[in-house]
Amino acid sequence: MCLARAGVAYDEGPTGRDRTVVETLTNELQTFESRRDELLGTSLGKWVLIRDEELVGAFESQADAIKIGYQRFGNVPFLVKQVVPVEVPQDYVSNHLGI
Amino acid sequence: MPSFTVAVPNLQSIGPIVEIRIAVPQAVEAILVSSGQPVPSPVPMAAMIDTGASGTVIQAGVAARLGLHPVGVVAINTPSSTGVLCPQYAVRLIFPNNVVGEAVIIEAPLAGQHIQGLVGRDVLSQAVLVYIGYTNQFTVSF
Repeated sequence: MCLARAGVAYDEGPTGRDRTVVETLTNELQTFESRRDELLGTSLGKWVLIRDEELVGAFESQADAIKIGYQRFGNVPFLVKQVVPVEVPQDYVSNHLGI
Repeated sequence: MPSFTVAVPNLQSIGPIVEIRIAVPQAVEAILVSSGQPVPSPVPMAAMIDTGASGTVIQAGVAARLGLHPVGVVAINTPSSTGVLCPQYAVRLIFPNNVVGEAVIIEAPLAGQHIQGLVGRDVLSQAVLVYIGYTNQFTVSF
C-alpha cells in the first residue's frame, strides 16, 4: 500500500494531528478487511457502509449507502465500499495526475 | 436532454477543457441547512474531459475547501504508479448551462497542470460526448 503517496493532508483542527485523508479511514478499512470473507458470502456485489468498527449494512448501490451514511452520521468520514472478490484499481492512462 | 457545448481556440493543443464548479452534495447541503451552518460556495475549476480516466478527479484540497469528508478509498493506477490509495468524495458537479449531477469522485494532486480536474468515464458513462475536432468544439449531453 502507498498511503503516503496519496499525500493529501487532512486537518483535524487545532487539537488533532495532521493525517493523510486516507488514514482517517484506517479503522473502517481494517473493519472491512476483517469481515471481508464473511461479506463475500453474504453481500457479494453490494455496497457496505462502515463507520469506525460498526458495519451498518449492505446496500444495493453506492449512492444508497452514502445517503444512509450522511443520514445516520452526518458530514463525517465513513467508508462505503463494494464487496468484490478482487478490487480493480481505477485506471488513468495520461500523465495528468501528479502521482 | 441537458447538454453543453464548449468552443476552444485550438482543441487539439488545449484539449477538451470545460469550466465546472464543484459543490457539496445535496445530502450534505441538507445537513448544513438544518443545523444552521453556511453552505460553502461551489469551487470553480478548469476540468478536462478525459476518456483515459476511469474516474473523475478533483485537485487535492478542494474537498477541504468545501468542508467535505471522505466516503471511501480506492486504488488507482497511473503511468508512473500502481495501487495508490486515494480518498473518494460525494460531490455535485455543475457544468455549463447549469447541467448538474452528483458523483463520487477521487481527490488527487494535479500539480503543474493547467487543469484542476478530470471528468472521467464514470460521468461519461451517463453521457454522449461529441468531439468535433475541425470546428474546435465539443458537446456533452446527459
